[in-house]
Amino acid sequence: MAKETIIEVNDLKKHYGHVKAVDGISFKVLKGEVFTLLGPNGAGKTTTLEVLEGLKTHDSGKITMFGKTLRTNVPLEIRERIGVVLQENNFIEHLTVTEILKMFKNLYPSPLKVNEVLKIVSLQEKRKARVEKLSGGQRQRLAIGTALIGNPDLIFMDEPTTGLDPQARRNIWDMIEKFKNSGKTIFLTTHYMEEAEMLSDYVYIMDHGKIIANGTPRELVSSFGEEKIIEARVNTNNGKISELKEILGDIEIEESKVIFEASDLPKTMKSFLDWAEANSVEVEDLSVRQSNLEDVFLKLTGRSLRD
Amino acid sequence: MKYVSTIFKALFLSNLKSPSGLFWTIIFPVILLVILGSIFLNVGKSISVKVSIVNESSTFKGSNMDFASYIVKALRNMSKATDDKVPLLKIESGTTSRFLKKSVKELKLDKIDAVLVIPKFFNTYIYARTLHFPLKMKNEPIEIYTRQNSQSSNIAFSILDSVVSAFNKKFIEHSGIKKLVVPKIEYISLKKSSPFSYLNFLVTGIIVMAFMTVALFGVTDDLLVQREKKVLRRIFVAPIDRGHYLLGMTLSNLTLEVFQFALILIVGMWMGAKLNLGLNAILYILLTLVTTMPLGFFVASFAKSANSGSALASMFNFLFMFLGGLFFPITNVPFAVKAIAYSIPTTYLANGLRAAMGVSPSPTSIYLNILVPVLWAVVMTLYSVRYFKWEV
Repeated sequence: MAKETIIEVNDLKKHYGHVKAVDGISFKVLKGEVFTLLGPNGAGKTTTLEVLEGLKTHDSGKITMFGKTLRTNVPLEIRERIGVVLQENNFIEHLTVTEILKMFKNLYPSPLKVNEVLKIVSLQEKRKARVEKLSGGQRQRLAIGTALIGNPDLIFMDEPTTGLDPQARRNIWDMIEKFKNSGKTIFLTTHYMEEAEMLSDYVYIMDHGKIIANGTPRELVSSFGEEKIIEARVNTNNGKISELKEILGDIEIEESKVIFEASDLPKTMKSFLDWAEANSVEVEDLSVRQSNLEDVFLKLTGRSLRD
Repeated sequence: MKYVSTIFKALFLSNLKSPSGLFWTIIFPVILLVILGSIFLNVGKSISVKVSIVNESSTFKGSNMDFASYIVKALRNMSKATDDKVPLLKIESGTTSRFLKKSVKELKLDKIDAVLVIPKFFNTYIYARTLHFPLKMKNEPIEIYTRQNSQSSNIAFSILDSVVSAFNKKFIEHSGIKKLVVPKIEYISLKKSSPFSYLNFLVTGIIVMAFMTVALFGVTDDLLVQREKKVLRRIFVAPIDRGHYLLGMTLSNLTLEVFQFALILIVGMWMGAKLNLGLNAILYILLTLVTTMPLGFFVASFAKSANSGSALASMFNFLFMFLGGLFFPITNVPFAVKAIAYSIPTTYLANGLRAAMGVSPSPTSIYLNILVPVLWAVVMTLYSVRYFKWEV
């Protein structure tokens, strides 16, 4: 049975003067899936999200959410079904975690219990802490708590793990997995390739306001790079590397690192090692890996996601 | 209503828990009241000076030729309190040279302000002069001792001098006339017909200031700071409208003002202020509450950032506070200052509130006291509706 479409966007545009922040994008978000907009900073992900959240109006295009077409803003009855985690999360100062959650709880028709949410976001011990005393990770978890307390069908998360340490990031990933398992739809933006790969059911890659590719992470990787990727640190000058380019074709160079695709792994590896030996180049940290979304993005735009 | 009360509760609770917010909006006006009140408590109070009268006169005692006793009697009369007036003079009198010594000593010690000495042969001298007796005797003037560079001593001297001069005049006018008229002396109390109390003046001024402070800083904080910190965005992606937030926020600040008002009133009354809290007063207080609030909306709409907002709020605060005649009357300021003073709303609000609370009659008409603040409020509200941005 086909999954229900929760959001459908057709040819959405949002321009700021000459800047085309969102330049005619279309996509569908299906119920119960983790949907990801992947792209570098400034690609137009946040603007897209802000239009869907009702924070900004769009210039043109059609947006349908929960079967209703949005005109200028998002009506209350739709906002009641949405939870939002913004990129920057601050709360009314001097209030405690519980007080903030209670405040948001009162705005929704069929909310979860505060204690329940505290448990999900692991903030039981901080329930009486004032919001300004929370760490970055705790603040982010509270933000997720406020998104969750209305018991929404759809959760928007704008770069939910940016600026968090690996442990905190891992916690948030676990939470997103749990939401998905409980049947919620999640709309994620991120510029972390591993995050998109790990969490998403479906990914749209966005750059300069346009969608440049879409598919499941597996589809994207296989359609743009079935090949294995070889990475190695070499101790040599650029002249010799250009020689290597002649042998192997397309090579990415990041500082002293060379990255290249190997459609035929043993053959390519042999040519590389032969070249190193012939030129007395030291090779360190040699590794072979499956290509990932980062490589897909690199291939599509010629730039790295983190640029 | 659920939305409004949710926002109201959250913002009000945040205010109550904010030490700096509470200090500036609740504690500071009270401190200001106590400080200014105690420094200037004597402003407008009638003065009274202490005088010793040493009546050494020993001739014609008890007869109707005892001129010295007339002077003493006149001065005594001035030291009697009538109605609610404070007597101008406090008098101690004596006849001995010992009393004279004691009085001079007290004068030196600032305990009294002047000593009046009526000499021994005063009556004889006056009698002789009045009847043009060719009696050869040396002048026996009344002497007044005062302290140098003392204002109260100068005042005492003026009073005593005026009494003595009045006698002199009578003696000269009526020299040769048998009937000696005792001059009638009126009180020269500094009190006006309606007693003015600086404390009452101050308490009403502080009430206007407190309302203005909450409007300027509370609203600016709830709109500009929350906008800048993206708290507003987070709230508005929840199912709530901006109108709900505005209303909840306004109610939270109004409630703060009501608490403030009660506290200032209690402290003011404890310090001795007497204020009328009739229907007119309550209506005018409501008008003040409602018309000061848009000041905050205006600042929030005019300023681009929270920083510039708080600078602008401070500027308005100082301007309205000092030129609005909240702490001191602005009757004696230069014309340019007066021109500003009479164009800002706090001047009228303070005048109106003082009139409504029975502190002093308003120098401006009651219509202006309502019209000018309402006009300010309307203009500032219209500006805010037009220019306020929820997003930056």
